[in-house]
Amino acid sequence: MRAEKPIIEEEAPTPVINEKNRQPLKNSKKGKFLQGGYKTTSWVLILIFLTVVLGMTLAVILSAFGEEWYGTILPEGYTMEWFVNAWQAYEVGEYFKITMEIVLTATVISLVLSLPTVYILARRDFPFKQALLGFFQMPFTLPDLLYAIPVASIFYSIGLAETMTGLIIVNLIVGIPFSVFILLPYVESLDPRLEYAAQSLGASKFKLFQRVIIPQIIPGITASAINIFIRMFNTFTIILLISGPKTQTLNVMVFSVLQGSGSQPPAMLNSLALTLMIPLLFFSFLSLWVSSFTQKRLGK
Amino acid sequence: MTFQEPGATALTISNYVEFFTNAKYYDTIWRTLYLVVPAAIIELFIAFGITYFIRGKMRGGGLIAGLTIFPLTLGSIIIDMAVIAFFKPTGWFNTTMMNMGLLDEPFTLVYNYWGAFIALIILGVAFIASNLVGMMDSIDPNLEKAARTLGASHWVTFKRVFWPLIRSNVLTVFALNLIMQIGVYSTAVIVGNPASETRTFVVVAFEEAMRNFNYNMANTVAIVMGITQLLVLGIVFAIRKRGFVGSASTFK
Repeated sequence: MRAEKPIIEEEAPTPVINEKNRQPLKNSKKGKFLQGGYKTTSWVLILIFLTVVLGMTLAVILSAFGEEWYGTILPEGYTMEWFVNAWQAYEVGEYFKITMEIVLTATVISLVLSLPTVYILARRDFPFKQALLGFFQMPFTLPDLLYAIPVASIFYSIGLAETMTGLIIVNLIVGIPFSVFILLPYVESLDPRLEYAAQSLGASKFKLFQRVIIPQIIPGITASAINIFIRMFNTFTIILLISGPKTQTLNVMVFSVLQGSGSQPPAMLNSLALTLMIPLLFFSFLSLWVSSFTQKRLGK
Repeated sequence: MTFQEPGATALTISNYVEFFTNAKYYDTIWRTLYLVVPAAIIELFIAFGITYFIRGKMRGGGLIAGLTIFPLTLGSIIIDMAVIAFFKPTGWFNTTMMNMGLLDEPFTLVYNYWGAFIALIILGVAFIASNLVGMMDSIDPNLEKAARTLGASHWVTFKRVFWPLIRSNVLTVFALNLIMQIGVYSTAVIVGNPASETRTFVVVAFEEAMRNFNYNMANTVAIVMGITQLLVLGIVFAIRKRGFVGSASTFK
């Protein structure tokens, strides 16, 4: 506080100048009009966009639970029938299980693999480090298709396609770079002196990781786990290319049903979309909660 | 692989010749760009307008930002379904418009160019806004205050102080978004009309790989797509280079 005082004193005369120079602008009709126009336009823009976004979400939910809905504002009644039908007709439970198995395994593996990578990237300086970082960035700056088709043709030729292992490996392509980039700032902000202390007291590399580094970046690990989970759950192009009939994820199954829609009532399709939406919503709220919680803990 | 014909091992450029001489293939370039580039520009304006308006300490700003970014977590398939549910001829959009007397008969907004366009815009705005929110926070508000105390109007402050600082970052995000959307697939298939109007690169590539099992041609399409993206990127970065490039918060 003491250091700031002189600055405040220096600023004291500015309001006078400020007022003087602002006078013509504030009173001019044109300025007021433009200001008002800008504010109205911004609000209209925000309102339209948010109405569409919220309206779309609500429309899907209402349609999935509505009985009959044709040309009226609200459906005529509410029912769980579509939901149950969709769940049974497409064996959603089975696909849900497969998806969860694949995505959870891939999340754990990418976390385990990305931790040492991040540690080395954050602490060591070596030639081509920037190039390596750029390489890690590629999967999420390039569209999936560019690597999806080559990967798919390779997987088909070595027999990994249509297997669970293949699907998990493909998810890792998405998961590892993303998790590296989320974890990097967390590891960079660690104090290396703690590690020196642990090492001087005789801790092995493994002990160092287990007792010193991991506990400090638990918030980073949770954030990264939730984020890559959502991302993998949404991965789509590449899975569509290499998945077989028995090893589809929920996302791909819903897409194939939608592609051949026309035979199914739209409410049923919306119920399917909702089964995809619920876990995603749950996890995004979880991630919001975790990030606000950790920020509070860190005192920001 | 792109230099091989199916079944043969010799190298040829026949796949590329086929791509650039057959209208079935080379048309996809224009179709994709015609769909994606206008959408990307509109997205940039909407996202910039919203984030610029709510930047700083505004009540409810966080909520608006959260809701704007929200579609990003849902992913494209759900957005496509939602666009259909909202904009279909009997959906809320058309019903409301007709009840208000603005329209006589429903607009056909799904299963054609406009359906894909709307779905792209919603996802694109969410993506750009998610990046811009952080960038706008990183700009030192004192610079703007200084300009205001020296008598600059809001518009001049924006044009001379704020925009030059954020310009390079905005263009980077714009380029990233453009690249992502050139690879649009599920949107083009579900809400668009993949047979004619929204027949993008990826639709053709998938057809070659999944229906015709011609992986060489699919790879060729992917490579052409990559080259198109690089060209687009080149243009955006050429524009970006003509201004201040660097960190806006520290001037280092």
